Amino acid sequence: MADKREQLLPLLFPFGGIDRSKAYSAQPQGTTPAAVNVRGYEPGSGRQRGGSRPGLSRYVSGSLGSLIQDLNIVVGTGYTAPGPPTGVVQVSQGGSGSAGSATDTFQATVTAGNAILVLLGSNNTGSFPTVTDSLGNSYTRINNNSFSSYQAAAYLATSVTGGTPTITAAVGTAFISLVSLELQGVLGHEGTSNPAGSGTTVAGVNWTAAAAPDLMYVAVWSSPGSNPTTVTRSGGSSNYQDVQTSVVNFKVALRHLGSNGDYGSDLAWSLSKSDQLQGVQGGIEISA
Amino acid sequence: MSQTSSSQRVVSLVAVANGRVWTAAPGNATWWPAVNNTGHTLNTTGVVYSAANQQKLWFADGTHWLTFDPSTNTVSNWTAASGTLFADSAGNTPRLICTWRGRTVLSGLLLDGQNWFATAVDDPTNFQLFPQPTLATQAVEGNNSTLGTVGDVITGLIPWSDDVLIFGGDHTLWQLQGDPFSGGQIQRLSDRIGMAWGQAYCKDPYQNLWFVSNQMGLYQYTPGQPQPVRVSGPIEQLLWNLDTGLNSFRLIWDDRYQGVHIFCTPTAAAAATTHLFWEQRSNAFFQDSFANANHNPLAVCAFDGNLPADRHALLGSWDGYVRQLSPSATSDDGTAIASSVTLGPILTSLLDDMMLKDIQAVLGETSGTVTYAVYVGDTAEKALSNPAVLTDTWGAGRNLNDQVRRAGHAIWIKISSTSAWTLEQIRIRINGRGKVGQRVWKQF
Repeated sequence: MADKREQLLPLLFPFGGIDRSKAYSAQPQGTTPAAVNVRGYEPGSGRQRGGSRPGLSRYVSGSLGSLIQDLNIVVGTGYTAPGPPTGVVQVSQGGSGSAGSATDTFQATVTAGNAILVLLGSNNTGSFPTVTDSLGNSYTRINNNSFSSYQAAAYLATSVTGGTPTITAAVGTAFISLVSLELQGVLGHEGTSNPAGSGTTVAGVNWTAAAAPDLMYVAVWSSPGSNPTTVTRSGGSSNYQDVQTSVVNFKVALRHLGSNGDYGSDLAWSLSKSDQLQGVQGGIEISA
Repeated sequence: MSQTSSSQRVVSLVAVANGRVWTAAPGNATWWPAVNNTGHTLNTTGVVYSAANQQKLWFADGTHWLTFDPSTNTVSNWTAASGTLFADSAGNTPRLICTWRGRTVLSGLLLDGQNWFATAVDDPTNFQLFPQPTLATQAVEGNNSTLGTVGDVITGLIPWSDDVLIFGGDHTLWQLQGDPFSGGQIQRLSDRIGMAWGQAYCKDPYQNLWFVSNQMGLYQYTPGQPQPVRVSGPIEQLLWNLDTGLNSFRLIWDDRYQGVHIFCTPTAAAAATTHLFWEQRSNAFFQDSFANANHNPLAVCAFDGNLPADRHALLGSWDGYVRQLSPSATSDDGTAIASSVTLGPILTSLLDDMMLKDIQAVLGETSGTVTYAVYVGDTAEKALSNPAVLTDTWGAGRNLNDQVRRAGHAIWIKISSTSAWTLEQIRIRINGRGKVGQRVWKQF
């Protein structure tokens, strides 16, 4: 014979969630004093039956290497989202010195395997500057041009060690300025088309060897106290990007072929100043 | 890469790490760095906020003026085409940003914390406060307008509706009702409730505003209410001890799971913490924790790509990964999820002792194994803190009837697991001990 005091009771998952507001003995029906990593609506089937919460999986498999500081979405229409960009990842703050050396530090970490392009100008033409960095990367001079006492040059380090390098350029005791660029997808130096002219007006030679998505650079050095201002370019000014206009005596402009709808392949420029000028221009071959 | 869409919409996920801007399109496996020729990055540490307007993303990090154009994958300087960029006397730039009525609204200047600024409608580069002639759509600055500032330090900007912008304050709440140059008025909602710093708020699809207050209450503000309503009553103990200065609070509506995530993450370093989830369909709070402290997010967003796999709440983590809460993920990116829930107390109306004679459970057919533990005690409170008197496991499907035979005045059952599990039902058999099992009569 069944015991009258015996009861069969359903014990339900506490769909009402955590409630710690009442007496322990008066825990509201359908609630719990403790529930960690559970849900009333079980995530797999979406049914209200109780279970563990959904887990985390990587939405993008790659890591950005450090804390995600912001996450947002942008929705647009009327364009196709660009593919992986090639070319410039970041431009340094740049640096200048009047006693034969200058340093320049990237603000963000340089990704291992990328390349660093250093563009510099100096007042010393007796010797070529040396370029080193704090990570021990090796720089090769890929371009230089000089006139009178004015010199501009480009140095490239490929497959660099990752980190935040400080780059040092040194040459005698002269004025010197440099700007450094982290580049992605670099295959090598494509060639040069340095200005034929010199003096107070210089003009780059039109050059059509490059093709998208290559990068073309222009770096103009002027005498101390006379900063170059505007580089006049062929192919439409909007196709060039001025970078680092704040570095003393130095001006750098880039053209990203294939970027921003620019599929031109010419590179020509001119600049007039009341003082001496010199510059380099050339192309960096970027993998498609 | 964009997804095929009848609207031709292109959705880009944008992340900032180490001050650099990265993008990923739905379904992408890798991040693409944005081309940045400005010569500087965003702040390389700490939280950065952004707001989309005119198909671009505009950043507020307290130092720099930068904008990102997803159509060219390019970061550019955010310059003023007209007027002057909004900054304080030391040149600090805004740290708070939102988009409201087509305006980009800014605040959070370090030396002018009570001030606010709104660009011209539909033009985040138009900062012109004194156009000729005056326009209803022109830019406006709080302390340069008839509206004035809110007096309190602004801690959050909430574009609540097309007509209402809410200013979260250090210890007050204000609303700007109507466009500031078209009859808008600022009204105080509360002089007792403030808002935690940053983006400690979200809206659900029913226009309810959820936010964490300056004193660690969780509030809901619904259209038509005169005041926000404190909804954290059942879980106040879980919020009491949180430091609003050392933690970042981020709230996000999760449409997949129909609820609000309340993420509380220490800002100094990756560290253990607990979060909350409010399940709308059950009106229930649950606690969440990640065993790997790197998973605690300082940045979150609701991604809404075209595909089901691209409609999730996304969490930006300390280790540089962006993760989603996936219904098919049975672990936290390889780390087991320790889950538990306590059921009970089982009591009788006679306040007598009882015996839990047996217990039987039915788990989901694909459920992982769970451990159940039985706690008994002379009171419900005592039982909860006593060691378990019995533990055993249940597997998927219908389990055998377990003979328990443990007695006490109050009984709790705790289910725990490190696997993904689901519960169908539990049945218990108890036997009250009647007057014999009640406490001895006290004689007077």
